[in-house]
Amino acid sequence: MKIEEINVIGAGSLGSFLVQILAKMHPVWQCPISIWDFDKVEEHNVSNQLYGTADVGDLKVIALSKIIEKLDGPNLRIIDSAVDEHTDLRGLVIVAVDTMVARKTVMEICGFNWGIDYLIEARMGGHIGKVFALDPKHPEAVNRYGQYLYDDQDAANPVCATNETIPALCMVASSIVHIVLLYQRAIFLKNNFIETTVDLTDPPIVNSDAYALI
Amino acid sequence: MEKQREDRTLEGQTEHTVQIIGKNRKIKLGEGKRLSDLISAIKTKYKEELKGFSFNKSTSIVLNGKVIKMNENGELEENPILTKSSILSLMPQITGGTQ
Repeated sequence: MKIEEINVIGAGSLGSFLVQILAKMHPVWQCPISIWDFDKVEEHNVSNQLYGTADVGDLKVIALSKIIEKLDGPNLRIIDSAVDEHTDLRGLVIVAVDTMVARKTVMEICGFNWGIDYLIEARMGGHIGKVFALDPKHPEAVNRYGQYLYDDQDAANPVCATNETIPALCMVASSIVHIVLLYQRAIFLKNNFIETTVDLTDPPIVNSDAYALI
Repeated sequence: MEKQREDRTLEGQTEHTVQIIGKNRKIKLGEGKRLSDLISAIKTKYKEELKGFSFNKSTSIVLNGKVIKMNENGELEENPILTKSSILSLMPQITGGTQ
C-alpha cells in the first residue's frame, strides 16, 4: 500500500527516536516525513531524547532535522507549531504527544477524515508503553479507540522518562515503525484495531492483539 | 482476527485470560462469577506480581474489548457476570510520550 505522507506529531523522547528509525528506513517508504512540534530542546531533554547539548535552545524540529541530515536521512518537513482543530493532516499520522488533551485534538482532526489513511498513537509510562493503530474512518475502530481517550486527570501519576527508560522508548518506537511496515505491506491491518503493549518492568515483553472490525 | 477464546469448562469452572500489563496469566473461576470476583482472584493469586499496581480510577480495565471504569473509591462502575471465557487487560492509564 503506498504511503502518501507520514506525519509525526511530537518530537520529544518517543518522537525523536521514532523519527530516527523512520528516516533510516526512508527508502522503504519513499514518501515525505513531516514532524510537528513547537517545543525547544532543554537541557533536561538531553538525557532521554535524541538531542545533544549543542541542540539546547533550538526548536526540536530543527535540531531533529539536522541530526537526520547528518545520518544521510531524507529532508524532513518541519512544522514548528501545535496541531489544532484547523490543522490539515493527510496520509499516515503517528501521535507521540504526552497529554490526553493533545491526543483528543488529533483524534478530532483524524476521526472520519477521508484524508487520513491510518492512525498510530503511542503512550508511555516509565518502562511500559501502549500503541494503538487503526483506520480512523472505521466507525467501530473510532468507537473502540475512543474508550481509551480518558481525561488527563484520570491518568496514573506520570513516571518521568530517564535514560533508564530509553530501552522502552526504543521498543515502542520500533513497534510503531513495524506497524507502519505492516500497513504498507498488508491490507488486512485496515480492518483491524491493533493494540500493542510493551512491558520492560521485567524481562522484555511485546504483546500485540488485533481485533477484527466488522 | 478476533482474540481467540478457549472455553475450557472443567468441573463447572471457566478459565479466563488476564493480561497484567504485558504478561498473560490464566485464572479459573466458577460459573456465574463477576468481574469483581476475577479481580479479587487475581489480587490473591498474583499478589507479588501486582506489587506497586494500584486499582483505582487511573487503572485501565478492559474486559473483552470494553473499558470498565473505576470510581474515586476504587469501585467498578460496572460489574458484569463473566458468561464465558473472558480476556481481561489491566494496566495503568499512562499518558507520556514526549517528556
